[in-house]
Amino acid sequence: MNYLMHLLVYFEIFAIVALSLNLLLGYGGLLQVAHAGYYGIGAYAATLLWTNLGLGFIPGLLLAGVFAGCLSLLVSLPARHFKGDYFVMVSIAVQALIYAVLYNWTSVTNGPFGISGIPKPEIVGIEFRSTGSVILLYGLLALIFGGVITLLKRSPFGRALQALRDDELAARSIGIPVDKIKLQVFAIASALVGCAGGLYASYVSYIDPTSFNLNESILMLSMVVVGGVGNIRGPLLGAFILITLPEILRFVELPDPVAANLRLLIYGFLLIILMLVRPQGLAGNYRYQ
Amino acid sequence: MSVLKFMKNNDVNVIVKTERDKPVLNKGESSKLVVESIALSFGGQQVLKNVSLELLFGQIGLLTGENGCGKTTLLNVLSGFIKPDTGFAHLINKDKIIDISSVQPDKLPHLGIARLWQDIRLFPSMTALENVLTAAPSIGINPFMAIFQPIKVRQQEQVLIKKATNWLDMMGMKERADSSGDKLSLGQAKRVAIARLLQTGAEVLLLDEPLAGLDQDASAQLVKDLKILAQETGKALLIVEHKQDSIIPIADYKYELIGGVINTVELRGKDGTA
Repeated sequence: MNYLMHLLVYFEIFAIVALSLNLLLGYGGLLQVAHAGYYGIGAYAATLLWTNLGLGFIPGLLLAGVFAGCLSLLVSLPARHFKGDYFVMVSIAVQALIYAVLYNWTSVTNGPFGISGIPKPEIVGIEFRSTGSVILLYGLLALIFGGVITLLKRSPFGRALQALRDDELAARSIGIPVDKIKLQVFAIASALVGCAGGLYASYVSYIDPTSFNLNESILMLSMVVVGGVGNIRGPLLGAFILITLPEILRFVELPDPVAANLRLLIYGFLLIILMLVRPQGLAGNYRYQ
Repeated sequence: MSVLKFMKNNDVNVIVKTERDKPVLNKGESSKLVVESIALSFGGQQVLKNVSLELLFGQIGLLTGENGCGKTTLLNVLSGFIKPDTGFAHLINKDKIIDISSVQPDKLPHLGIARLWQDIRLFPSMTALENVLTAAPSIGINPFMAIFQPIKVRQQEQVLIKKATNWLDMMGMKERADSSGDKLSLGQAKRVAIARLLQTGAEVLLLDEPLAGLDQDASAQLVKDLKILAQETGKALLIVEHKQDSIIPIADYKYELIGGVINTVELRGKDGTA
């Protein structure tokens, strides 16, 4: 039971991650592979704000999100001029750069040894120590963040984002400030995933750079692609599947020496089949050409 | 000496230039599009040599010429996507002069010039109404307003929906407002795209081959509607069209682009008769 509850907390964190990435990819058509980097920035920033500056859980979490958003803004300012494959390459470079900083800036991040003893959530004197209470708190926060994304999606901002995804040139020619919208959506998505990083750090109590590498970014991207883009349910379904599938495969009896690799093989094979059968994702309503 | 003025227009900050060698606003001057001595070269080949024209608001201009003579290039200049090598294009609108080549293309529609693409470019994942709504200047395009002032945004949205529905009605597309952009016929898509231009609030509409691909009946109906549009809204239409015989009856001027130079032919008298 405790194991399932633990998975539920992971699902809540990754629901925020997938929804924020969907804002970029699903609504804006902006493929970025540095999401885990900003997730890590948020995790480290929140940790340092809680432990070094003694900020409360929510102020620390929100400031960490703002920090991740501002950093993304700094990166996006020059990067917004790149398009398509070149933009993806830039985002991979940003991911590598963030990982390298987290790994090598030992005086702040403690490098490969990571930071332990991160405090559990505490709001107005109420401590969230049990997994059950964390599920409630993180569920509530996921709902709030999901609500913010829904408000954005249904607003003229969301429509402009969708126009950008469909046809950037046409969007520009009818007066949509394309560059500004890009900067804003990158900042918002990075701020949200930064907050998710803070939630992760507080839940696991220990962070190190390996949780925020390129593989994690690809996993996040897979959640959105497998679930389907352009709506709320797709990324949520994707997050659920990609969290539970490897866990389900743990219960498949395989010869011990090759079990880990075989599980990965089956996992990859299932994803390929899924993409062949439903290229728009399981619950997506937009198909990339 | 140049004089720079900062103006606020539809939440867009614009630098309005007035220079001695460029048009200066005279009191009571008519609103119009002014193109003066534009030249442009691509890869050593001079596409536009000395292009000049004037089009008053409420008038229709037909831009013709051989394939590859530079008609679409001129539209690209007028919609801000290409900067000319020399010469200038200005929009004189009521009490301000807008230097087209100094403004980013995404700011031009809300300052007065919007463009219909030859390949239409509707947003396929949106309905006709959403396509039109996307073009409206809205407070909700600011994400902070969208998050923290959703009621205010929704109130403005109701006004914009009404306006968009009116434009769709004017273009005969009100009944298809909920149809997806990729489910419309070519003629319907063009009409929705024109309604989308109208929603921008632009006073000058640049239409690149609006009749291309349409049969005779659909062409005739669209021409009729364009005439009504110019008359009722007072907007200027600059139309690039190969089927010039269809446009000539409603056009005030014909601009023949030959060898990079424009030859202007007045088609209608000042009283509006052909």
